Amino acid sequence: MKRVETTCGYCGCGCGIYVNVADDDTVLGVAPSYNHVVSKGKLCSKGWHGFAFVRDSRRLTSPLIRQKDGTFREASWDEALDKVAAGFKEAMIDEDNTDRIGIVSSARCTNEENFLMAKMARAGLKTSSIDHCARL
Amino acid sequence: MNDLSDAEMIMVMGSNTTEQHPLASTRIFEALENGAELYVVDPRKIRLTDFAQGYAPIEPGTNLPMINAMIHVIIKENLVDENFIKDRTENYEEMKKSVEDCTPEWAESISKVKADTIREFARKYAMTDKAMIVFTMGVTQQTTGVKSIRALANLAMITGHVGRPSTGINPLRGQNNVQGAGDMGALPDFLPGYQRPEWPRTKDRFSKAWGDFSCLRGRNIIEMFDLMEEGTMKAAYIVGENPVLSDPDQIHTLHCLEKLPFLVVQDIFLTETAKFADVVLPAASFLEREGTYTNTDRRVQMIHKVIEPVGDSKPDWEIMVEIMKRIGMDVNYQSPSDIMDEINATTEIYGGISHDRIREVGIQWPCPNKEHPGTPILHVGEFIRGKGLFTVNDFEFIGDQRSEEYPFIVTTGRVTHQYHTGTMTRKVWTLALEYPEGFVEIHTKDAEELGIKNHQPVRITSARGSIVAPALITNRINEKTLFVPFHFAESPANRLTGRNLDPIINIPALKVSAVRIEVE
Repeated sequence: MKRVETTCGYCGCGCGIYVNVADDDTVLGVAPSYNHVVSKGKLCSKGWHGFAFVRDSRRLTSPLIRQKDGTFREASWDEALDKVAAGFKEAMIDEDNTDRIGIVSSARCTNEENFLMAKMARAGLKTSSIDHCARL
Repeated sequence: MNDLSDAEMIMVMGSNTTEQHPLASTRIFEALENGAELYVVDPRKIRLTDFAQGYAPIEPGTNLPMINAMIHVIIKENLVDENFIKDRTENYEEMKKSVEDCTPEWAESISKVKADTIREFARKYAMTDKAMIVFTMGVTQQTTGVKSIRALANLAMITGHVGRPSTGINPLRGQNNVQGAGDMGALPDFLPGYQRPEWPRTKDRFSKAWGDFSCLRGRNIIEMFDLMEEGTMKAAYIVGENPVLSDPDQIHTLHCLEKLPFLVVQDIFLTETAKFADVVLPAASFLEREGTYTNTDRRVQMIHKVIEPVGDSKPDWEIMVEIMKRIGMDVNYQSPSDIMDEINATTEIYGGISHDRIREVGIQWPCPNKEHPGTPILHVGEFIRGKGLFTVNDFEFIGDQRSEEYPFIVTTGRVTHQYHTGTMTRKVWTLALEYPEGFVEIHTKDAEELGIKNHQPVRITSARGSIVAPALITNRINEKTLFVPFHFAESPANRLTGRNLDPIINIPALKVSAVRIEVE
């Protein structure tokens, strides 16, 4: 078993947690971090219990592409990513695509990922239309 | 957050802290144990009211008149901090003139909070040295959201409750990294670090790092959906968001997504929104990758990889890098730490925050260089703009009001065991057990009048749509007011909400929708 220290991914409090993991990568449980500057050894119900979704059988485990009949089929990463790039390129006909392409980034993602989204939107897709859920 | 424990008076406005920020509420309880007094403004008798010295059962959407009336009382009774106003602020006289008619009696007629209660809140706030204001979406998700926050800033400045420990106006951020997403420029009107796109130095700095880039003020999420409806928007990329449940006016949202020619959704589950996608990309959860989150204290903290990505999923950043390459961008990041290096170079407030520095304890931005210890309290000694600016914030009714057809106001919110649109928490059986389904809170008196029994299914209808959920009869909510949590796809609160927007930043008035309620 290993114990990995990380930051809880639910609300904006940012509590410190230890996640206990079995050798086969099963998440066994969570323990609070006693000297963490925010949570000082306490956790709420989501902090204690909220991690079973990780191994839920409904997790997306493969890229999906919509077929003509409206249903999804599984696809390889290469095929899915090529399709994404082709779809964006088709929408990018103007010098600036602010009204043509919309990017919704995420408060669930890391800072590094949000930075990449801002860069991809403005420098790659040439759209200034990028937002996340702060208004919602 | 540590400042909360040392406060002597805390006014909580539009924040159900024990349910939504449980660990922040433990600090409020610490403060109470140390003798602090608690004042709560909310249309529901939330748990905090059980510990409060003062409670203002406010009408949803009318925080602004109450705040302006508090300012009126403080000025009238000469409880202002004259030195602070003289040394650190400007435009006081104009603001003062604007609240001359905002008497507590006037505010009572709109907000339904008794004039004497408003006076008590104002006096207590002004006369306590360490007085803090805590707020969340209960204040912001109204058509007067921005004005209300500016009025809170006026309130804090006339009393000098800014820039010292255990003072200030403190928004608690709802999602784990909603602070960081804004910091990193996931906003239409800012580049990373709140640098305006139109500033020349922004252009210089980012042109060097990024090459040519779009530097307009772009469309926010509400406007993007409007452009989908018009047919102008041709493609969208939605990562880790579920607008079908979280955005206002669900029927409109569904219609827009149906109309959009090309949609990519990246998420850990096939969300209600992902079902509309042309391509769905499977992301790794936050236990399956490295990076940083920024909490409500502006503290940048590490997350570590606990397990390998499930199935064929990948961390979001890896997927993004692949797409960037395929649309022709020259990028070469080997790890999130490489991306942080670029953040350091372009984003002053994160200038000195590297993964190595925050491995043990997170750092609070602004942190401009590697020697800087970080900044626990903003606005010490000076505001970012120099002098604190008093603003004029006149109240007007915009958006939904009660009518003969829609005699109730419904307000939305969360419960502690669920999270946002329930994508994760509803799949955790221990949490789902606590609140397996949605509900509608209604006051005992209203329920009796309408013949509604506890747990009986009721239908709520607004001008936008209708939902059915079991009634929960309680005395802990204002009369003629309903409450619906927005976690539940079967009774989606946002089918009721409308696109009444704050005119300044377009935040939708999710907390104020006129509805009728009937036995189903």
